[in-house]
Amino acid sequence: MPSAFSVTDLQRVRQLAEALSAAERGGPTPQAPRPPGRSVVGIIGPPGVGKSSVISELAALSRTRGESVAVLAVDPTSPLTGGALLGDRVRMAAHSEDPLVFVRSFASRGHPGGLAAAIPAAANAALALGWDQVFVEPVGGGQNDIAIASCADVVVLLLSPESGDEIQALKAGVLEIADIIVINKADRPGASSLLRVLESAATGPGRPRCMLLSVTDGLGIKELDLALRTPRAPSGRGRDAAHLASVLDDLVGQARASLRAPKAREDVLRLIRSGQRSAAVRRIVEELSHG
Amino acid sequence: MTRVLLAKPGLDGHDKGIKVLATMLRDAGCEVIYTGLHQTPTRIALAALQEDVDVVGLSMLSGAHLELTADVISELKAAGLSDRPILVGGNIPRRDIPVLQDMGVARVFAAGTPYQDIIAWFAAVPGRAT
Repeated sequence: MPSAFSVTDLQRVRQLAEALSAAERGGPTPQAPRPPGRSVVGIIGPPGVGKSSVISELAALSRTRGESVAVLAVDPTSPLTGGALLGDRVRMAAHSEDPLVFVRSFASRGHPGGLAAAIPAAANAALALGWDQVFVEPVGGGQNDIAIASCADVVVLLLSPESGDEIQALKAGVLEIADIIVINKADRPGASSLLRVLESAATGPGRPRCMLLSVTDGLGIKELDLALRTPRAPSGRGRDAAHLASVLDDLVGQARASLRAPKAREDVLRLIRSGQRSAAVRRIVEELSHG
Repeated sequence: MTRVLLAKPGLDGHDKGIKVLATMLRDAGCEVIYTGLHQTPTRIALAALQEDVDVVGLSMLSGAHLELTADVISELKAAGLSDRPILVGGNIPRRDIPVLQDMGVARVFAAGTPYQDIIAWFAAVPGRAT
């Protein structure tokens, strides 16, 4: 049976697959200055709000323009077993025979903030290898999962009409880093009143654009696609904070790794058991600076 | 860390077994990518390539396992992935097990296999450096 794919396409896919695996190992990955007109779009929001479905629709529009698409989707790793069940491909079945819609599932592997440690390098590698549009879908998140803002050019926050009560809680975190806020499932009741609440809350310079979307009714997807392709000045809203948060996430990841050394681990545990928490922190910092 | 692709090729809609297996392997520390029902051999090979998995597991209860497995093996080969072990599970008559193994299937876990046997097989797969 001959392959359904051209040799050239398979080579491109293999090249990116290998680069992403290298990123996961922490090895060297292709890097290049970001080409004009290409961007990394982060799609964030609570679990079940429709992130994968919206990405699938946006990917379809990119493909009609002949652009190649890479989707980097993160799901949580179990802190107890280290295992993960990665199911984001199921929502992108429409593209499952198109080699130029590249979907890679990442397990968070203990990295905080809703991303996997490999994501920033992986997103850059995809652009460097000539993929036109990169979508990052973090773990369906909480209000503090703002790491995405440090590696995405545009952050889209997806909400649903039922998210109304969550808005107060979200205010301090992800609402501050969103460039575009989309109320998905807008065919359901409550969408337009939530839109008014969001629009009145989003004031001042660099305020996010708010819009309605319904994948099932085909409403708003072209508008979102256009908004993503419209050049904008970097809003900077909360972005510096996100960069700092992301660096701190890396620090936590490194601290965790440094405690795999039995000596350091035993020292720290001994200090914690004897109630000297500050000394335990200093011991970890010492381990990091010598490591 | 072992990355596993689990797929149901063909038209049967019985996904209880593969979902139990997915959960079991997750709890055994694997990263499991589940692709859903009704996968074509082409889709399975493309997913295996994009996800850079270590193992491909197929579950079939339709009776079409010989034809579908042969097609998946051929697509994986075309994608340059003939080095990845393939597992087959489901309603597999005993007489078909050697036929599947001759095609290149690494192991057949027919219905009724104790789950410890499956976990033990995965524990022996050389995982990748994380």
